[in-house]
Amino acid sequence: MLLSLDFTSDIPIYQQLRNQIVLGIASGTLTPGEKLPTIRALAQELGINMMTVSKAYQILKQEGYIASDRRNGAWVAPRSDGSAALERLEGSLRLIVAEARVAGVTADTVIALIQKLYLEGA
Amino acid sequence: MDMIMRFIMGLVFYGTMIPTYMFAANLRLPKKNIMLGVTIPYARHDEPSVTAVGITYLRRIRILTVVAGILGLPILLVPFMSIQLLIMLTLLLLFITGDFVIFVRANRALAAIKRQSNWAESAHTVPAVADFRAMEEKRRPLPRLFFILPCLIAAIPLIPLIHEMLTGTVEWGQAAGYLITVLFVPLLLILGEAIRRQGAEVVGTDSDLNVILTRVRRREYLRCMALCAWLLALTALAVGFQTIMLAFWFPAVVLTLAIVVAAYSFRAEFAVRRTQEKFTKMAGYTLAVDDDAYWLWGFFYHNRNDRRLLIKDRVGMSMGMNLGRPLGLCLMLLSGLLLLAMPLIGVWSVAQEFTPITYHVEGTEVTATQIRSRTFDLGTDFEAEIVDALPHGSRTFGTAIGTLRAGTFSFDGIGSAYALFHTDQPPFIVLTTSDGQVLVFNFDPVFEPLLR
Repeated sequence: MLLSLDFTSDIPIYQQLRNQIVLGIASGTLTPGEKLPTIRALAQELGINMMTVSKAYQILKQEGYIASDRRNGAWVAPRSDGSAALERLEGSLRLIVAEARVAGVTADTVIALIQKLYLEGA
Repeated sequence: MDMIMRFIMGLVFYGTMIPTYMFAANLRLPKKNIMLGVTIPYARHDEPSVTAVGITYLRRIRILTVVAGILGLPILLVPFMSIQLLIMLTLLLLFITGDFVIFVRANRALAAIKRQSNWAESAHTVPAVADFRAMEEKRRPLPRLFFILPCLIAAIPLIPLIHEMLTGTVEWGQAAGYLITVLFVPLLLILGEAIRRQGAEVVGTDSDLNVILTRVRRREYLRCMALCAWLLALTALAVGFQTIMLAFWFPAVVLTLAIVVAAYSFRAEFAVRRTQEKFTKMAGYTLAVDDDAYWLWGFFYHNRNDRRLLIKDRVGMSMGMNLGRPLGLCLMLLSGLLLLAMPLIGVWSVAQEFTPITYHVEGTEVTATQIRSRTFDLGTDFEAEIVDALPHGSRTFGTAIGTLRAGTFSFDGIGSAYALFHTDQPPFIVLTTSDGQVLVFNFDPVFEPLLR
């Protein structure tokens, strides 16, 4: 799993971390049960604050992508049935679809794009 | 002895110059996607404008090296050690500064070409890249035995030293030399631990390559540290048991250690560079990090967003400071000042060697002056003896440059004594005060009232 951060981006660092780990899980680079680096190690490696990594891990845990405990650190959670993820997706997609509508992109194009990205494992 | 000193000085000078030239010349070759401190896309490495900058850079470095080499010849010819030292340190500073200025000029020229041609790498414009698998390497524990064993060996002479301290028979000059040497050995263990925690090497999206490269870099670094630890431990052992008298052998010991460590470090540095280049090619140039914005003149890392203090160089295995952090900036300024102050050691040596010694006697008080004055009260019951030749002596603390002996020396048959004299100006006067302190000076008519 290769993770890179863009300090010049408008997206907060914790959000970039969260997004890239989700992409890693989706593409199969991070497999269920695989251990993630410790908060301290990842913060040191990327030269960022430990709180930033901690926040990203907390969000990932709340969203069910990872699990953690004090003894074993964090690891990729087993795949769920998808119902919780679907709820979150609906919220995110609502905004994306609205943006597409405003931009004049047709429903077919949006569906085709989503299908393409889904099959790519992005 | 004079010839030997000239030879040693010449060896240090040319022995520093040649590897510095090799290092500087090597910088023109592309490492990963970096040339002369500028990130240039792989496809542009053979552009005529890029090649021209490299050729000009190499030509300038060569001219500077030849000029410095010729200017350094007086080191082998001048008879005075302090002047040899002054020439050597000044020339080395000018040579290193000259190399750096040439590098900066080439870096700026290349950066301008890159800017005008819009060659900025678009893949990643930040240095923050982490490979989870390569990071696992950091979890591998340090082979502590390689460091703890030399620590223990270096500490063996502590046992007789403590005994000597308790019985009051300790030779402080030798003991100080031993204690300073022995303190450096555990420092290498701490440094080794810092290296273990260094960031992983990421050259591409292939984690296997990143893992191997991280391992190679770490292994070479730790080998260097372990070699230093063992050499220092053996030196501490020899100094501690007085197998080598530090006062006499100090330059030779330091020189030998420096040559061995420098030679090994150079080998390791170039081995790591070769591996980096090879593996980047194998990775297929899939990751093109362009973090030039954070590298001032391609040399100094400055990033306020980066919390790390120690930053591994983009090429090779060395490390530098993050000037974006106040502590990093302070340490770098301090190192720079120390480097600039190098010729001052030579100036100080010249002042010492050529300042005449004066003696003044008032009653039973003797004042010896050379740069600074020291006054001794001989007391009522003192002894004065004039000798034509002094027994063999070794320096405990002070200066032994040219014919000057200034400081605390240990003489056979006399023991520890404060000395301020020139060896080529006999006779000498040996004064023993009522409280047992021994003073050794050149004989001067001002001492005549003391000869009762």
